[in-house]
Amino acid sequence: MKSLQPVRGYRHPRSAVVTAWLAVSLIGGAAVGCGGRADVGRVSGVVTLDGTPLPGARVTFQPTTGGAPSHALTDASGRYELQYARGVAGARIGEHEVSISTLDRGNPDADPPRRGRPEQVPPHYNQRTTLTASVRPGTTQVDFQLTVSTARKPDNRLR
Amino acid sequence: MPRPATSPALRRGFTLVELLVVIAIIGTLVGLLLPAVQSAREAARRSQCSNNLKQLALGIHNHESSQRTLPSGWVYTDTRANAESWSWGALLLPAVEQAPLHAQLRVAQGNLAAHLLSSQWQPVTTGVQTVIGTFLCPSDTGLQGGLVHNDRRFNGGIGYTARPYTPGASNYVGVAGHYVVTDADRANSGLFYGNSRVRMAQIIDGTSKTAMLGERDTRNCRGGAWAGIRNPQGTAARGIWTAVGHSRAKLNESALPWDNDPLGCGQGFSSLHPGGASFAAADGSVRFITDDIDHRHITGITSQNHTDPRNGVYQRLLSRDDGLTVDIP
Repeated sequence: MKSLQPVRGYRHPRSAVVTAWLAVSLIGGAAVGCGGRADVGRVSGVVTLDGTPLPGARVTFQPTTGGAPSHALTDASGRYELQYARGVAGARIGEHEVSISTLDRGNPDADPPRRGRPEQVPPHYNQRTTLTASVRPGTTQVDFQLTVSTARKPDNRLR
Repeated sequence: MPRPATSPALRRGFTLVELLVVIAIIGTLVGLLLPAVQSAREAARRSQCSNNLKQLALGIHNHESSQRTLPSGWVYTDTRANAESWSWGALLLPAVEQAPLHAQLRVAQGNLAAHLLSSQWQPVTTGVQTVIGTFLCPSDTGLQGGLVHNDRRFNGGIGYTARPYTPGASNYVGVAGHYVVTDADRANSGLFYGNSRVRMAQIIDGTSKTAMLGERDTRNCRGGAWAGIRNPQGTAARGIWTAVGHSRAKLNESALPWDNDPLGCGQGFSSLHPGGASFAAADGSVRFITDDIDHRHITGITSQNHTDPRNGVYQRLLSRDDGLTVDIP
């Protein structure tokens, strides 16, 4: 019996070391699993048209120096979050040309058919867009306050 | 033989803590190993997937050797609305060892809608529902028994009320080019559109610098059908996009609806491989293009937009005659 006592005494520190190693490796493994992309920053914001939130609008961020664009659809409260690739939220870091459009052709082939929607946003926000945005590393909040009224007169303030 | 009296030291087994630690270590190791095993499995599926793409590209070259042209994107002989029509996949059957099916479907003896409206429609419907492994990508977890998704179902002839059915699926669609063009009177800038019959000499940018076929998955983007298209005049979910795709939609677009949106992936190219999709170039080589490829589509009503130098690398690769040659990255 006496010979057992030292063995018992050693076991506890050893299992503690093993447990600690285990915890460290688990945390390390989890950290590796959630790495993001270095060249992409998260972008979200709210789109309003004449002060009211604009739902169902297609937001496009086209990088001016080349690369893949990012898209988003605004939700019922006009909020959008850009998607760069499947499972990668955000847009490329740098300057972007932004276009916003509500044009939706609908889908006559669906059950029931999905109705389309006309363009509500003036062309200087989509086809001949003057909107720009800058995406920074981390998270960027970009809100767009669109107005229909400025479409009637030439507008230099946006540039 | 008398057993020796067991001493307390020999009677000792594992304590609960030791057992738990061992289980935890094994669990951690399996947890570390599992993603590696899964990615190895996906790599094998991707390899099979690009091999099928290679087979189809070689089949197209066989077709070109015997016919002097690539197959048409789709056969536009029946100009009635919603007239189901053969696409490049059906025309390619003899070149991919499916000659009996080609004969059974009488592809060369009239268009799909005419066969479906004749008294001999039944063997045509069952033939079109044949599942051909060469047209399927094993990575596509959205496939429903190898048939096209119900959102892309056909009607069995002309109109919406005939005999609906879901044809055999295809995870590979032809590259139509830059424009959303349905009618055969307007050529597109790619290799497959209505009555296209593109000749090798028309691939001005070079066969190694022009994409011919690309992938589209069923789960997110509703794939395609190998046999044909449901409506040669339709650009909605059940129009020409079961056979071809254009370069306006971003590769693997995931933020916008797939159906009837020119920016949605239901009209473009996609895959479930992480980070991109495989394409076959016109020379038959298969390349993996990542979804962060330079993408800028010059959109408008003129037919010269595809030659605009502001177009992105992806747009240049998907046009055969834009004069903007670029190597596949």
